Formats: sequence, structure tokens, C-alpha cells
Amino acid sequence: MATGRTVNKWTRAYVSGYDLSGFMREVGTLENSYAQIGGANLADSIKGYLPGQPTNSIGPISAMMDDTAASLHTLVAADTVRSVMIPIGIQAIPAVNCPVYAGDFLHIDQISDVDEETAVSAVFAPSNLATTLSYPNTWGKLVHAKGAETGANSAVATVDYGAQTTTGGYACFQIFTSSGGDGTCTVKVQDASTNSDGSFGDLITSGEVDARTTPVGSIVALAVTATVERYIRFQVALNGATSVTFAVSFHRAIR
Amino acid sequence: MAQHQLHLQFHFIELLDKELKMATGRTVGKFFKFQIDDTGAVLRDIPVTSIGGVGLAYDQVDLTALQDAVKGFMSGHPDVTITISGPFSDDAAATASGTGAVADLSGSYTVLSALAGGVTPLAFGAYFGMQGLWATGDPAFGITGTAANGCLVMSFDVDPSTSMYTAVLRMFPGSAAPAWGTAAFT
Repeated sequence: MATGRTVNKWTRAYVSGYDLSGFMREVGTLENSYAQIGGANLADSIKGYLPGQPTNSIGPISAMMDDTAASLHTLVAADTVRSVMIPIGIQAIPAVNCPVYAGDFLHIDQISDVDEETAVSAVFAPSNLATTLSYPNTWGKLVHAKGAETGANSAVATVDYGAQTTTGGYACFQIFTSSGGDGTCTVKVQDASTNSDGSFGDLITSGEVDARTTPVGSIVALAVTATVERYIRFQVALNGATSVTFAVSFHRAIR
Repeated sequence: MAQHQLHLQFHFIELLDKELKMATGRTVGKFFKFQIDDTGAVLRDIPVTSIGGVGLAYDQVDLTALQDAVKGFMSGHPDVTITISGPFSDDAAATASGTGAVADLSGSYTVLSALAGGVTPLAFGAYFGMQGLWATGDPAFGITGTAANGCLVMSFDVDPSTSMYTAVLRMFPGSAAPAWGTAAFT
């Protein structure tokens, strides 16, 4: 994977298991800002501040009116909490280790304006779900780029944080479709202290899902004191399905 | 050695000496660089397209009495709000450049995303190279980081449409004030 700067054509947007990248023009600013609490005591040399509660938000998302199945228009039901994953590809489509902004956000409204173009604007508010409230930093890394898997993963990890942490984290699962049999499958994030196939154990799972008809998106969080080993990789369990197409990111908390 | 060869040698040494001495006067943005501590307290060069708020802004306390002929003020506490913007990048962390060196840029996402919301004071430096790469003797504004002195990163926002980030820095409570100097901050 290249590293460095990039342009927006390599950004993707996955919402509740739908890939909306082909329908959207902008995802808006990905915000991670903290209230600035403080001032100056009399004897201070300068005013000083501590970070208060953060605000994490995306959007507004803008798109063209398009009633193709699985477009932004088909998610028109507002007032719904949605899992949103914004992977930012670095000079190519998003690949493992790319930066990812993800969280649960409240799809609060969706307005269409008619002009020469018919535009759709969707506003997402910060969610009040417990998964989101536990972790102030919404940035993480892509562990599996959007693609299909037809069997268990035996490869070593390519997401390496350098050291174990004990402050938890969360995963964002975007399961676009499954096929074969009854379509049931489980997507997982695994960790290990040693980067060898047999060393990995399950860290977070999506739970068993059937995405043959309806995509599935979810945020699953660890306890804030959970231990997360150095190496991270994806894993799939094809319970009844023969193939599953998905993307997953992991957001390790460092404090 | 022939006389003309000696003259050439002395002239070359003179030219080299002029190159090493910093210029004074005006300058342009391409000679600017910005550094900040990462989470391991190691200084990193950060890619910056614009920076605002370099300097101290003092509260203006109005002490005017009705009977005064003109309004009068005294300065209160100074404040620092530095806003930096630049390209979003995930380059690996690199050792920060020193005097007279080209900035060795670390990724903005690599360094700043982990700093946002932290409460450990960070060293930072805004370096103004005067008509050339910044060198000791050129203006610099910042603070050397200690357990009690430094800045904090209050936000790290990214606009994917422009692939640019914006980050805001404020000072840690009780910190010494950053200052203008002519030496590198550590």
C-alpha cells in the first residue's frame, strides 16, 4: 500500500452495509474535536486549556437523486442510527492499513433540492449509542478492504500497532452481501502478540449474520480496559454461506 | 600555488561563507516549517499548507473611566490558538529536521490523529526560514516540551473532498508561554 497524500476519489463511504461510494459526491468534514475547557489562573503565564467532551461527526453527505436499489435514496428513512465507515484510500482504492473514520451516527434528516441537478443531502448527528460514547477517537485502520472471502483466513497480520494496549477499542463491520446455503456467516477481528497464524484469537465478532438480501453494518466495542495485542487481522467463519463480501476496520483506543 | 588559484580559493570560501550565514529581511512561505511532538514526545515535521495564530494575543482589558479623554486599556493574560491546515497523509513518522535542513515530513494523520484529545504537554515550533531553509538565528515561535509546559491538540478534522486536515492547538493549563526565539525547540 502506498503511503503519503491522496485525493478524494480514493475515499469510500459505507453506511449500514451499503456501499454508497457510487452515489455520493461528498461526505463532509470528518470531525474529531474537543471542547476547550480552561482559561487562566491569576498567576498563570498564559491561558491554558484541557480537552473536554469531543464531538465526532460526519457530513452532510451530498449525492444526486438516484432511486437505484442500494443508493442513498433507498436509505431515506431518517431518524435512524447507522454505522458509517469512511475509509480513505492513499493514492488507490482503500486497502488494509488505510486510515478509517467510523462510528455510529444518527441519520437525522435527508432533504432533496431540485435545481438543474436534483441533489440529496443527508445530515448525520453524533450518536448517543453506548458504543460511540465509550470512545472519543473515531480514527482507526482498515483490517479488510471491501472484497469477498470464501474461506478462513490463515495469513499473518498486516496491521501492526507496535505494542499491546490495555485501553480497548471497537470494530466497524460492513457486510455487503453473503451467498450460498443459508447465507449465514460471522466476521471477526483477531489479535495476537506473535504474528503467526496459530497465535491469533478472536477479539471482536459481528455475530452470525445473513446478508443475502439485506446488508448488515454494525459497530462492536470492547470494554474500555480490554487488552488488545499488537497484531490485528480479520477472520471469517462461513457457517452456512459459501462467500461473504465485507469490509472491517479496527479502532484501537490509546488512552 | 599560483596567485590566481589562491584568489579563486578565497573567493569560493567567501561565497560559501555567505551561503551559510542566514539572510535577514523578508521571506516567503516556502521556507516555513512546523514541528510538534508525537505521542512518544519525539518531534516530527508536519505538512502544513497554512497556519494561523502564531504569536501571543493578550486580553484587552478596558479600564476607561467616563472622565477620561480617551479610552485606555491594559493587557491581561495572553492566549495562543494555533490552527494548522495541510494535506492529509499517512507517511511513516520521520526524524524532525534540524537547522539548515529540508523538512522530513511525517504523515499528518500518522502524528496528529493520535494527539487529539491528549492531556500530555507537547513541544512545538513554527520556524520561519529567512529567504532560505530555516537555520539557527532565524525566527522561531514555540516552546520546549516538559511535564508542565507545552501545547495540546484540541481537534483533528479531515475534509475528504479536499484531502486536507485542520488541527487546533492550545496551551496546557499552567504552562509557560511559548515565545519567539532563534533556536530550535526540543
